[in-house]
Amino acid sequence: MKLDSTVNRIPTVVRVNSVSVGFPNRDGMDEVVHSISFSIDVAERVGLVGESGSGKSLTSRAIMQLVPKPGQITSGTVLLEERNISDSESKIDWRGSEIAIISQDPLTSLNPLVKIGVQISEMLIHHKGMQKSEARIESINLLKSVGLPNPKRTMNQYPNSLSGGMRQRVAIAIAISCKPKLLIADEPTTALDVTIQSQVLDLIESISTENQTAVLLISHDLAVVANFCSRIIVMYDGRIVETGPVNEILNFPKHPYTQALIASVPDLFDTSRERLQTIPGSPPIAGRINLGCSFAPRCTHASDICLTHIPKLEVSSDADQEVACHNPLKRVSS
Amino acid sequence: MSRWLIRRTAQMFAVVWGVMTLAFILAFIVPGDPARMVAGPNASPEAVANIRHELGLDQSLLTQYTHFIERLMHGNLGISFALQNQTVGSAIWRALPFTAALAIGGVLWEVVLGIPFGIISAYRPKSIFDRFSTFSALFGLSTPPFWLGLMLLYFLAFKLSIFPLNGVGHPLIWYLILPSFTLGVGGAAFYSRIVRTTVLNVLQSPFIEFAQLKGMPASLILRRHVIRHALMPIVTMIGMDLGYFLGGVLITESIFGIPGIGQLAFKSISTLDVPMITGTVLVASVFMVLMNFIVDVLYTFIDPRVRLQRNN
Ligand SMILES: Nc1ncnc2c1ncn2[C@@H]1O[C@H](COP(=O)(O)OP(=O)(O)OP(=O)(O)O)[C@@H](O)[C@H]1O
Ligand SMILES: [Mg+2]
Repeated sequence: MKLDSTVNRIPTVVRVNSVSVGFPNRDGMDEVVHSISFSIDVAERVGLVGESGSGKSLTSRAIMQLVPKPGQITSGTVLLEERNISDSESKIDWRGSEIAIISQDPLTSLNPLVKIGVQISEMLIHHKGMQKSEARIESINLLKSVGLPNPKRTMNQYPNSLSGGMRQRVAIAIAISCKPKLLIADEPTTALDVTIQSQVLDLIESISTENQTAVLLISHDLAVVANFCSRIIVMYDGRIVETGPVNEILNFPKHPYTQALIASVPDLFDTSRERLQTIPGSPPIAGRINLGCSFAPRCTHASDICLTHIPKLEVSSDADQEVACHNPLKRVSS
Repeated sequence: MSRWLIRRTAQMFAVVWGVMTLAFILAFIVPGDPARMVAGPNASPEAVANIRHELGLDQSLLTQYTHFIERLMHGNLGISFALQNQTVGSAIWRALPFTAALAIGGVLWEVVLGIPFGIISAYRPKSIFDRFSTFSALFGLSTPPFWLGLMLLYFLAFKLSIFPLNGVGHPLIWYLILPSFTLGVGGAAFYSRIVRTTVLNVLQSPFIEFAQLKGMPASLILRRHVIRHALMPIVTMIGMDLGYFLGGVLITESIFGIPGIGQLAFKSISTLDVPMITGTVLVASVFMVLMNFIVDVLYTFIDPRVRLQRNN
């Protein structure tokens, strides 16, 4: 029996080390994701939040080692368990099977000219080496498990004859077909109507519990993340500005941006009819070289140092909560 | 689907009938006297009148038209004016295999050259291959077939004696390599452009990205997810070209001395051989309409969305 200090720690599934993503321009690179590091434990549910354009999707795609062209992962490594999957020499047999993703738009992510059955069983045939007949049976089971009412029929249907909610269920079935260790859900419900949204989230939740699948949930919706995740990562302008357990972050945000984000959400905890707060100013233009903290121009707590030095993500006095701010908010007990 | 089929079939008959009527009328409007053509320049007016009566040309246009349609209903295209004692049907039947072989050969060149070039260009846009392919396409599109045909004949057949010089013989395929290439080059260039654009578009669609994120290998993505989308324009082009070529390709046929429908049609026009004119026009229009129809049916197999529409 091993008796070192890691014995009680939950093992890590994916570790992201200083990953940067950029887009080539005339004279070099526009970096839009700046040296991001975080890790996700086995079966952990992590929420990734931030304004539109803050780099959430690119971060998730960097984990998949497939950023949309002409984007490039310019530095950093990604470890899947102990294995370095960002090594260009390493075989890409994990993509889709060990780390899987459900994308932002379920309506267009299925090929309209290919039967649902083929689009799901090709996963099992390719990744698991199943025979066609075997893959077919397994596919039907998968479609059943994501709550499609008539899986046998659905197998022979084309995406256009399914509703948006059903298509997202199919996409989920595809993503979980090989029992991935990490499931990335990039705003899985934005294209769906409200009643379907919670059904889809419930589905992802139950899958995660059942299969011990870790989930990285990307969302605009803090309320969703609060319910679904145990930990939150807050991104601003391509950087992580704060991360920690859901309750800590939502009750005692340390970064002014996080605070503003929470204040802009209606009815997260209380039902008082206060006016919604919007964050003053507008998000920075990604790729622009920034000397100081990129939130400083919009920040009510900014001091001189904020304009000249980019704050590093550091463990704050409270364990597990990390914040990148020169003037972190004090914890005020209510 | 069946209602669509009925409507579509009715349309086809209407189009063929319309084209036939037009061809019939045109054959009479053009200046010149068919009876005089048959009788020859030195025949006496009586002889010409005799022949006119024999051919039924002295009857009213409406009567002639009625007879013409009646004959057609029985599948009878009439007897040639110029080639006495020959039915139009048998003349066409003799010419058709050559034109058909040439047409299929031409389309094969289009497909074999156009599709791979288009796909590779789309996968490597702006690469050397893409530039080369763009340049070749420009060349292929802007080269007049008669010039290309003559050049091929001069160098490959006459100078180097690799290919037969003229006409047809055994094996037929050997005699058709240069003609079909001449026929297909322009189309090949066109196909490669269309396929390139289509594939380039498909490669940018979210479902291709999703297939990549699923970890599917590139070859499978190409085979299963990309090509299917390029199939629509490809099938359309093949159908249109086949329909068009099968109606006779005069320039290619005459450069290479192939006794096909194109030459037959041309001769019949220059001799005012009315039954032969209408006969060859019928063949051309039927092929055109038929290929159009086949393409339309194939759509339903390629794209389930089309099928859905037609079922409703
Ligand atoms: N093709 C591109 N060229 C240059 N910059 C790009 C390109 N695509 C994305 N970006 C930049 O990358 C940044 C991050 O994009 P990303 O899609 O990751 O944002 P996001 O946080 O997922 O936003 P959303 O919530 O709207 O999905 C954006 O601000 C955008 O400016
Ligand atoms: Mg996004």
